[in-house]
Amino acid sequence: MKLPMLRPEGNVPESARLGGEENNVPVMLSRLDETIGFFEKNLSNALGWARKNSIFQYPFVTACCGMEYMSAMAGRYDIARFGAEFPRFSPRQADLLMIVGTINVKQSPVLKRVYDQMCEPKWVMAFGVCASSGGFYDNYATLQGADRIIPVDVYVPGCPPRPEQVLDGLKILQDKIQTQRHRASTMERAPEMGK
Amino acid sequence: MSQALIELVRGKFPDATGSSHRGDEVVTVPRERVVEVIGFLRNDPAAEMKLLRQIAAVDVLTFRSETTGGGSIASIEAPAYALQKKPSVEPRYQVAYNLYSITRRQSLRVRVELRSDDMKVPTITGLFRTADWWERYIYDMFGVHFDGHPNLQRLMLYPEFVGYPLRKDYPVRKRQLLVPELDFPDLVRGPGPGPGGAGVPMSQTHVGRANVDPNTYD
Amino acid sequence: MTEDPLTLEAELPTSLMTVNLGPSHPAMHGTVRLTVTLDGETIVEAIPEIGFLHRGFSKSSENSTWHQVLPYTDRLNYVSPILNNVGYIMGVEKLIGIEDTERSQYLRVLGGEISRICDHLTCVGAIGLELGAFTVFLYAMEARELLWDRIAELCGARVTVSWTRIGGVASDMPPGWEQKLRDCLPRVMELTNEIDVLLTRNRIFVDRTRDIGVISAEEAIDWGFTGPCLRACGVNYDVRKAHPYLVYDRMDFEIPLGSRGDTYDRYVLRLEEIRQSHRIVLQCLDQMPPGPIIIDDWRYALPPKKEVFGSIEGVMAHFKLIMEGQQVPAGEVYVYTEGANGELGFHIVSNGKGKPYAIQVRAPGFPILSALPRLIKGHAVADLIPIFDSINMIGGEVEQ
Repeated sequence: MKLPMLRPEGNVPESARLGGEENNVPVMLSRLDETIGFFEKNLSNALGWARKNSIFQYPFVTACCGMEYMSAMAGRYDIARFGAEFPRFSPRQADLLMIVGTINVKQSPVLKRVYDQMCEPKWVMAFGVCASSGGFYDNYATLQGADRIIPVDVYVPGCPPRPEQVLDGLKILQDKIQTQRHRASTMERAPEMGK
Repeated sequence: MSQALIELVRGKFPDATGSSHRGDEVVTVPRERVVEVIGFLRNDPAAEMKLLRQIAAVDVLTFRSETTGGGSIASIEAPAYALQKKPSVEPRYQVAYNLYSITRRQSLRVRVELRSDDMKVPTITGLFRTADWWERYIYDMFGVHFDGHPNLQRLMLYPEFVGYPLRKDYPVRKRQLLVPELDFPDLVRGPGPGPGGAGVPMSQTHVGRANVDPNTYD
Repeated sequence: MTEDPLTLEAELPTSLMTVNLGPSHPAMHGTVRLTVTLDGETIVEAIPEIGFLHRGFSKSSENSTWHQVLPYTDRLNYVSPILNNVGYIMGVEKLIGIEDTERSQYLRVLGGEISRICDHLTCVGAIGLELGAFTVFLYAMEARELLWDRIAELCGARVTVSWTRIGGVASDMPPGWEQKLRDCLPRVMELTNEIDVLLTRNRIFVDRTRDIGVISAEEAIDWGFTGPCLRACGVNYDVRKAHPYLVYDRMDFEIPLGSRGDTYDRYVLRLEEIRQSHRIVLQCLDQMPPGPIIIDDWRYALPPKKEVFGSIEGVMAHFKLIMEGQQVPAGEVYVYTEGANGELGFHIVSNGKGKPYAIQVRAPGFPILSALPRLIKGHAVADLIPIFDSINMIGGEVEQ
């Protein structure tokens, strides 16, 4: 099966970069792009603002990074200050998948299914090096990063990352959510579920 | 004190051989006797070894031949796939039962040696219930077959996995994927699975290895 | 008995139902899958499936030098990494036949006991969290943060420290650190006492944990239990007392024992062990002798940087150690220490070269987890959560 390419703009279909002077280069625009007018841009910004500040996360906790995830959740670092208040333990209610820890080959179908169950728009954070690149576990059992099976938006390095790094990664993700294009409704067909 | 344990076992089972290293006492017994010996150690009032700490196994295939070297010069070592073509060392496997007595504060290791063409050991699940998972673990990692085990299946790995990873001739990085990997360009980790790809970091590509088998990646 | 008006007369016909819990289930800590057969709400049978965090510890270790294994041991029981470091490095020292310096022994005990406090706090906090007492979780995390700050100052990392070395430890206490630790310990104990007040006599908590998951002493030994779970059954077996290693024979501490072997006893015992570990930490600080923190044997320990840059012997020793690793004499040992969850054993084989020939770990949680079907059988589904928490399954060590 041909799986979709990872797009730098994020996982929202048809999303394009908005804002930023460097992206406003004059290129040949299609008629679709021309119709993006003032209202649609503002609507997109408003939706992005709303979405970035109410991230419902699904912690896919497997390993050591879970300890730092607990720290990031608890009183001192308190990820709730950034709008990622409450973990939802159902992928259908979440829009941020946090892959916290090593993903091995046995776990990979589970992760894939959890990702497929999440509704669009969805984002993925690879929490720690094991989820980002496999880390120093390079053997028969481990997957070399969760991005080998699902697209990842933000990589948080560290083994495990300090909670400050997690918060930094969350802020980066929020910037990304803000700047990508959101639509009130999409005319697209629902993406086909992966096997 | 523990030397007395070896004497105790040898008094009852004359074909057992004892040895000692750094204070660890070891009794090597023939395979057919393992249930008998461990049952004796468990129930004899002078031993009272009620706690089975661990079952471990060792593959001694490269015990004598392995070249020295650390992680940084690991690439000059014999690759695992070349080992599969070399003659085996017999007896190749050792299964070690680490026993302990909580009441008498003494420990003993019972060791069984196995040839690679006949890897069967009688199970001791009848003596210790904790042996259930340990035997499954050894089966999973080494392929040692425990005769009479009620549920001898893979424990850590998945049923689709072929081979036994802790054998010395299993390549370290040979993955058996369950989900197809995404194919995207990655400067550091390579374009995808396969030789020189995702499985192998750039620093450890097959430099100086002429006979790389393209079907395996080590 | 139909005379009792409270008894429900009608018998509800139920058929067995199979429910799949995990691996991605919040109560399963992410890595265990339980296939539970239910009769109504009662668990008839449970089949655990593990391996969702199998990371090939043994295979990776066999392809690393002796010191490169240390980070892998950190990630076995990632809640108390120093205890794992110490357990592994004592195995290597046993193979070589050396002992580390006196000060480093004290430092190892000190770091290990701080780790043990962190581990028990996490376990107690998790029990609280999953029984609905979120405050307890926050208190435990705050106490753990205080200790992790001290660990970060001592070792350079919060969680995965890789602090020990063959023949010693990597770093000494920084200046002023002892006072900082002395200042933060009362706060940690205060938070522990608050947890005690909130949970130990809480009616809801006691009802949900008392006589839940009971196991007898003989059966526990048969299943291979060690550590708090075994001591909760009343068996006095603690490696620190039974076979004192490092400087535990100079410490004055007690081994708390339970009597019933249920979830409540396991919880209370962990709380009490936090207090005993606190005592050990204070005694370590009082007794700590001055001296070197690592042995002066360049075959095994890295030479000091002054020698590496200043003398040819130092350069050579450094080069050989880094490139080839320590040449550990051939042999096979089983070394056991008291981990946070029980006896942590390493079965290490060396063939006299720079890398471990074989390492297998006896994770304390492994036999305990294998007894989970026995523990939860006959209980309600809701009881599964406190039982599973109280055995403190750590995926990293159980699934290696």
